[in-house]
Amino acid sequence: MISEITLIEQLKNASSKNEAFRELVKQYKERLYWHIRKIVISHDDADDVLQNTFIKIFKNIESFNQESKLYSWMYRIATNESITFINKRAKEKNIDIADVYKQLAGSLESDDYFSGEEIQLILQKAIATLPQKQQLVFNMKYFDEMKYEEMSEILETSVGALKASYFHAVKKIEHFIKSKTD
Amino acid sequence: MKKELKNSIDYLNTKTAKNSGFSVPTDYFTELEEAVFTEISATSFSKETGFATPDDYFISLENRILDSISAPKKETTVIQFKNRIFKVIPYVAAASIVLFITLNSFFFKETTTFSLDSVSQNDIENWLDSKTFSNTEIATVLGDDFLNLNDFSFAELKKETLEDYLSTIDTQELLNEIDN
Repeated sequence: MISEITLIEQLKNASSKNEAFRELVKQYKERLYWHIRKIVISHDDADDVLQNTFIKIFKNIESFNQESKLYSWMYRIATNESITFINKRAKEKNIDIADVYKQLAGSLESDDYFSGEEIQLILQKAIATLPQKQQLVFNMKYFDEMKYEEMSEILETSVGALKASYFHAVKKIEHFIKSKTD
Repeated sequence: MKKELKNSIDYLNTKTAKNSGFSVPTDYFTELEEAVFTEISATSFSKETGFATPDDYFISLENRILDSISAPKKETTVIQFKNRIFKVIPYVAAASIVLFITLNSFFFKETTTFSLDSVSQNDIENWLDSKTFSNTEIATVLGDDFLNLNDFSFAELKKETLEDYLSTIDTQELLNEIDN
């Protein structure tokens, strides 16, 4: 696997850009997909957002200033693209963002690409009740097991604020699941 | 707080096994790379169609549309029914005369030229069978030179056939024919 520094150099060089980008897609496609998928819920929407994310990365790689890690920068683009997508959906339907999440979680029961059981469905519905930032923090910490420092770079939020968000998110989800199962 | 969080996470792990439940179509990640590169190639295409419009087309278009919307409506003149009838009568009379003359020339003055070629053989045979004419009439129409004996040179009349024919002729009828 090519190191991140080499990859960035190649991406910024016109002659090696395409080949390096192919390598970048290969390395990050799954991680970025699952990050996006947990935000936008539907596979088709995740696919659209992922492609837009990669196009944006390709077009803006020259402006990447290496102040953060490459993958943090890409995660930030993916997160922004996903949130923009959800906000746009809310605007189109003229409903609150919270209602968009509830609708998306409700549609999972008939989703061909949701293979979870009843408890996973309850979990997704519980996540959908959280504020947008808490959803992001919970998904990145609980499922992706990301470090707070990494999350801080991606979400541009302090570690302390992230810890508090995660705590609240976990407590709310626990309460939701208990109310549905116990 | 740390212990409380740990207990909650342990509870979630026990319940959900850290499984989000999401899945992807078969070969999705294999095909993704090509899809991304196709999209990137497509974004480099020019969005220009090459179509052009005349100078100031859209400005004049706007004016033309607005003019057509704001153009004053023509006032409708009301003509009384009686006056209209009086106006129309001379035209109707003239048209009737022209129509009469035209129809007359078509249906009553029409002359059609017939030739023997335009009559079918069946019609000729039916007419001959109807016996509406006599031999004298035929003789009047046809001159002496209409038929020549040589015209029948191709025909060979057998003796037996001639005898058969003569035996069928009524003698009285033959005498009457000669008298005429």
